[in-house]
Amino acid sequence: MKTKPKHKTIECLSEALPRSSQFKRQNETPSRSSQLKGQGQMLEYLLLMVFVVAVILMLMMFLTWWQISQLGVERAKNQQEWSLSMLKQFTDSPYMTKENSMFDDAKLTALASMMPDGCQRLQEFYGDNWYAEIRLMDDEPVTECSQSNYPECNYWKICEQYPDAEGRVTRVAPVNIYRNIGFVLDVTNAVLPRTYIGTLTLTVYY
Amino acid sequence: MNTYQVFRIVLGLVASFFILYFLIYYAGVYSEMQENTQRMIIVNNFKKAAEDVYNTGNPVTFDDFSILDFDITYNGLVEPAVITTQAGQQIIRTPVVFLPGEKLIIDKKYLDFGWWRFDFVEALPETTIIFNPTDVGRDSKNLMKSIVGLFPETMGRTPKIMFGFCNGGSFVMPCNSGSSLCEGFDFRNRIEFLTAPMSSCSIGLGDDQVLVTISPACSGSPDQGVCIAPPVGGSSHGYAYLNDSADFYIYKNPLDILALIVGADKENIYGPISENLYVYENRMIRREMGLMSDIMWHRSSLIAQNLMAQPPGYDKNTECRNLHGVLAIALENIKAIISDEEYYKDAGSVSDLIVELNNADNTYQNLVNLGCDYMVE
Repeated sequence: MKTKPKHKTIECLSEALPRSSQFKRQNETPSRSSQLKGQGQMLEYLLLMVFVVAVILMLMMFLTWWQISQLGVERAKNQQEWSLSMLKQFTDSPYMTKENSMFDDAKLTALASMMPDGCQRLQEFYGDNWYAEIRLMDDEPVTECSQSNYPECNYWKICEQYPDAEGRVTRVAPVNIYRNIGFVLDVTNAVLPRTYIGTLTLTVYY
Repeated sequence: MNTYQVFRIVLGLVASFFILYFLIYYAGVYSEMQENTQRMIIVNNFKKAAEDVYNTGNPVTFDDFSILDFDITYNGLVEPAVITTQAGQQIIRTPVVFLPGEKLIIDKKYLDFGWWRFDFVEALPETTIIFNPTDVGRDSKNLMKSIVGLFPETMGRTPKIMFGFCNGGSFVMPCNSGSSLCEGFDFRNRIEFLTAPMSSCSIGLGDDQVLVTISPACSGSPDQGVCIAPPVGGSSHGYAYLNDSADFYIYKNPLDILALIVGADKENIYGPISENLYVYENRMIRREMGLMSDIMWHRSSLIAQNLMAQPPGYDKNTECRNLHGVLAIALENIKAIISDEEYYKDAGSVSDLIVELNNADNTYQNLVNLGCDYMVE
């Protein structure tokens, strides 16, 4: 019977001790957990912010890239359009043709070989970065026209090729070439000029 | 509220402000960039439209400038000519008489020199040309007809280029029984019926109206518009005077007058638009004529050198060779006159040039008539 109360006391003490430490723990544990919870929320929040900023930056980068790539597409489109426009201007140029799509061999010879600044002066009207070749389709070897061999020739080159160009667009079109010094005789024995078929090769480069 | 919550709110505010600022700034830059791109695309479209009209001869209406509100300045004083906007510059190599406006009519016209045709493009907004002829002699009537003929024909199209008269303090509307202004074709017919000279115009005109006074008594600085003195004594050149300018301008072809009329009473940052266009078109003609006369000179020499003599009795080639020689001399003279960049400001040079151009034209027509050369189309 004596041990019982002793035991009880011990029990009471043992109960009392944990209670006080439990009380302490109860007081401490909620603040630490809320601290951890707060830190977790902060981390979440920061991660969200980083993610949002990253998305915004990516969107901006995408828009800027899109803009730049569109400029590239636009540039390529312009090159194509420019080459077509040049072709049209060439086949209708008063400096080289008799009428639309009919080149005048004497004007071509004057420009290609008799005027040293012919190319440069044409570039004032048609812009830089192009060259043109006109070839008669006569199955003869290529002979470049000059004052000394005219009209026994079949090839004209206007402006020099530019081998270092990054890119180029070449257009080939069938054209007529009017030979001022003709060889055909009509019924009155008059010498008539002759019109030949040829090709215009126009290259624009950039 | 604990520290973390306060920290979170502060950080949230800072981050939100930063993101918002960044987004607004970027949106501003992006929209400005987009607008500038749009502006450059519109200017580029105009350039292409002008080139297309120059290449094909088909007139078009261009209204892209009405899409965005922006300032356009055409500067023909630099070489090559440029269209300047706040977004940048665009080079225009096609010869174009251009007056900015929201809606433009673009048409191709030419000056025929016989041996060569100078093609150019006009891009003009809605305009009304009010003539005030204080002289109705043959020279004045021909002058008015040549001026009207060089404007785009706008029948069935917009914007309209209309013509009428001013007599003292009232407008004279010559078409539809005197109830409306005329389009170019109708107006040319009405000019023939002018019998009495009109009194000096005293009406104030609107922004899209230009007064063109035709009077032998023109002198410096008319009150408004342009005053043009018809050529005297069979001469092919005359003098024109601009409002607010004491200078005189020599005209030798209708394009000179067109340039002066189109820009009359208007200015941009480069000065009076009339003067700008006048200098520009003269430079374009000079440059093209210089190249063309050089090519034709070499061509004539080349052909003459290669024409073989024919048997006696039919020596057409000798005639052709001689005519090519005469043409080459006229072309050589033309080259010499226009070698002076400002030849068009000197009456003597202009007169000499007209003589040589007529020589070249006549000789070339003789070559065509003899079958030695072809007609320039």
